[in-house]
Amino acid sequence: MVAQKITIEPVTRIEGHAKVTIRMTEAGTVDHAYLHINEFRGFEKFCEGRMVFEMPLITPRICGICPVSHHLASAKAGDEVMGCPPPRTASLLRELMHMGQVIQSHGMHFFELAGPDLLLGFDADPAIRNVAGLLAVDPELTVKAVNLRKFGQEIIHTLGSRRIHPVFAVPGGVNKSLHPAERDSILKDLDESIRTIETGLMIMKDWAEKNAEDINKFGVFDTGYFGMVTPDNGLELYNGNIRLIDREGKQLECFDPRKYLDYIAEHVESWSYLKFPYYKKLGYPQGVYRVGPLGRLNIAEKIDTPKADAELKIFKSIGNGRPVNQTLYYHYARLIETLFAAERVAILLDDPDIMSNETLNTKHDFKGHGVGVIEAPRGTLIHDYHCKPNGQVETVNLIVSTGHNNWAMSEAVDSVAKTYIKGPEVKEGMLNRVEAAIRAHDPCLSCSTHAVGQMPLIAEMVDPDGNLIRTITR
Amino acid sequence: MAQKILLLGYGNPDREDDGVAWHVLKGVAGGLSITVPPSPDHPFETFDGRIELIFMLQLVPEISEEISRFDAVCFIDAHTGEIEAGVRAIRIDPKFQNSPFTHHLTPQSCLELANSIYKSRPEGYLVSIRGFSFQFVEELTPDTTRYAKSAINIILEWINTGHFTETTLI
Repeated sequence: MVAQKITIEPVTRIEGHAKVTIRMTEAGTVDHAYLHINEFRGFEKFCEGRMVFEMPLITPRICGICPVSHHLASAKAGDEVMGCPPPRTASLLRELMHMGQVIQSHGMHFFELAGPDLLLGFDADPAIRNVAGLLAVDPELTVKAVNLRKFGQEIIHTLGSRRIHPVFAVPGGVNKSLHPAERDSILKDLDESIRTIETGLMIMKDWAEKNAEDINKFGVFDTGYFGMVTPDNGLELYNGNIRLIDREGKQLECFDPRKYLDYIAEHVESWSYLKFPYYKKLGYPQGVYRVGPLGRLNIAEKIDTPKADAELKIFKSIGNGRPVNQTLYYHYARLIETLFAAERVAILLDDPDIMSNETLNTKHDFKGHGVGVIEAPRGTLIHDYHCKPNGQVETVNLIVSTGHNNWAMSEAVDSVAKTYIKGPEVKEGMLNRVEAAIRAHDPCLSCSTHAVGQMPLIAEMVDPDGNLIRTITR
Repeated sequence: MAQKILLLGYGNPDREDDGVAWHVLKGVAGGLSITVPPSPDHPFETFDGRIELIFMLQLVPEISEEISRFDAVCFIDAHTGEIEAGVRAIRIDPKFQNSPFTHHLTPQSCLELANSIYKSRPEGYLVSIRGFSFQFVEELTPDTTRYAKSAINIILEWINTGHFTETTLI
């Protein structure tokens, strides 16, 4: 048989989307698989000339998936630019909103994107391998999953007031205090949300036990790991130093996130528009690392909430002293973080300062440059602004979570394709596993726009001369 | 026509024609003589206690609960050149549609969630308008502006007559 190329391409209408090309050998095995991402960088230019206090309102428009992360990272950069650190109450409230974002995003990912694969199987009929199929199998769980996301959204809505873009964090603090009735309203649904997350964890662990063989051959590879930590190396999602560990788990760096450019650089590959960040001292590709839930739990030595910490100990035992390097354990890590976020909600709401009216620092000491870093659900998000003395933004640099994971996603796609795709007949379940390798990282590729209808996948098989042999659409 | 209707527009008003649904909802609100909110972040008034207009950046699972309270739901969105029509108005049925990579829901999926979770099966309609450009601009292109006016008329006629006409305007 002739060598061929398979292309998996979501048909979308704008930049910022991914395409997978799988080059097959004449023997029907995979030669190499590539993940191509058309990076969208236009937003940085769009921000130039705006006032820095507008940025927390403008940058959430980058993305319909994680607007809160951009909102908060932008406000943190604005704090630095304006030289106005927020009062403690404002930091508590911002973190509370962030926890709402983590709960809704992680909850949706596990139960609605990953859950169908895990509960119904990678090879299940695509017509039922979705939430509706899940509903048929476990209706009660599906309703709880929707309620979990709603719980996170309600926290965001309570603080951000608006339905679309949050209006809450501003340079120097936040523009709204929390009322007792709002606090009680959030607390009312907290216990049920924690129970739902714990159910998810039970499902995940049960699935992992039954599918250990798959897990241990599905996108397993070593990298460094990168993310934010508390001062004593605990899991941190809102404010802390960046810790970087190597493939063996040894700390390479722990640095102030404002100095990120001293530690990371970006590599360019001819087959992707998205750059590949790496740790400068080790170079590329030795210095590549992973971010997001798997990265964060690998760099964290503990979690400062009891239930999540107990789960972290189980998670750590998988690696047996080394970082956990199986791609499918992103899902487990994601649920542990969701549990942490829910527990943090309780801690934050119990803090006597959280309902104070001291929410804004109006004294400015203009610095002109600011870096705001936050652990978005998908990984470390960096906003870096340089401004004129009047507060007008001159340059913007954004490094988004999906960018940090670019190498890892490409490697996972290649590894999974080589493991599971055996020609000449390429079955749907094989392609679904390749998609699942990307899904595990929960990339944000939708870039603020939406298309009527679904995002179909087209798999094209092309011979070495570029002639189309076969097209698979579903 | 006593049924409860939800007009659910979605898209990104900062990405040029992607935000056409926001402009269509404003036009429909004008046609119903209800106050147009100052920005997409503000809610619309309810018309006559039975017609609600909602604008969202994207469809999310929990909107299915809202949908379940209505007798009919009309989704409003942009479409690309893959659909040739300038305006397309169609009936849609509940059906879950997979999104392989992202947190992306379709109108049919939302109807299916309302059906499956809340046992509600409102009539479903989709009015989509051709978008031509998706840059970081808040205004619509001239062609999309023109098609948006047709979409407004289609929706108002449906509200006024109670009869939804499936339409494909080139």
